[in-house]
Amino acid sequence: MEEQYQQAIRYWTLAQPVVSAYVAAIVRDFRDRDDVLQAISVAVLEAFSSYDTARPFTPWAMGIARNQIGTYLRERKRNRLVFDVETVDLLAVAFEQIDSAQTRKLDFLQDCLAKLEGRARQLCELRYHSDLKPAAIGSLLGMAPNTVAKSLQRIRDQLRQCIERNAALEGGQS
Amino acid sequence: MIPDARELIDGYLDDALTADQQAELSAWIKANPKNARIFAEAMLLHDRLRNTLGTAETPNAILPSLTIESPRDWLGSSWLMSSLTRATAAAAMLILGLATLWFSIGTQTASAAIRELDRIIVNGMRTKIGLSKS
Repeated sequence: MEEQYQQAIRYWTLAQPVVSAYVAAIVRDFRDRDDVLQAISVAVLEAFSSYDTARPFTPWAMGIARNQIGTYLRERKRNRLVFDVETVDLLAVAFEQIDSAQTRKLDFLQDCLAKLEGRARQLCELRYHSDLKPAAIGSLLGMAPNTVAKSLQRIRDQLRQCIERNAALEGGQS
Repeated sequence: MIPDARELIDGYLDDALTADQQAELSAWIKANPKNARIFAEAMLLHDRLRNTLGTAETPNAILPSLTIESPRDWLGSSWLMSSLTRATAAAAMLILGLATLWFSIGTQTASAAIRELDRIIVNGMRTKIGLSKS
């Protein structure tokens, strides 16, 4: 039993970044995303005995995630803009195809974030630590919302390039 | 990728799209599986950013925003500021301080709650599958 439990935790730990991003794509509020992700974690661990280990784990976990997201959307009456069912299904397929190498690349994010300084760092933290949207950040810092949005777009581009660069460097060294 | 697609994706990440733009993004995703993949990868970074920064202690970079100008700057420029400007600046400083305090407390509380929930889940699952608590 303990072996099965450890196996479930191991599989879930590997799949969790992809499932989490998929949930975030549909459930827009960060705190709601956390709640839905917790519900998925419990459901995955509870249902693990029915998982066929001969099949890939992430698509199986994504199936559970889709059920939990469906429940969330029904309960919340979809009071915010969300994608239609066809888009949600297409996205599920796209997320399922993300391999572990892709998620491992994101381990470089911490180093890349450490290189951000000044206003870029501040914008990033207000957006992702304080969960403020561009309009709220603009009010706080005396910037136009559009300027904040453009800046955040550039920061994410920089981080993406930094991650790719570091991953390529590591790939060249190994 | 169409030039506007990256802007639409970033708009989605920041919850800043209109209904029309949301429909445009949805149509773009449906147009090609590669587009869905690009969107998924953008979400992956966005989500990791939140997981990395969202659970951190109140970051230092937020705090300097509380000091819009140094006291010396305030004194030096105060003669030029109208009463209305000064009142607006003071209100902004107060709101900024309260907002920072509010969000830092809220995030830390949420993080603590999540950690506690994780502990409960793990203990619950161990009990459920017949393991003794460690």
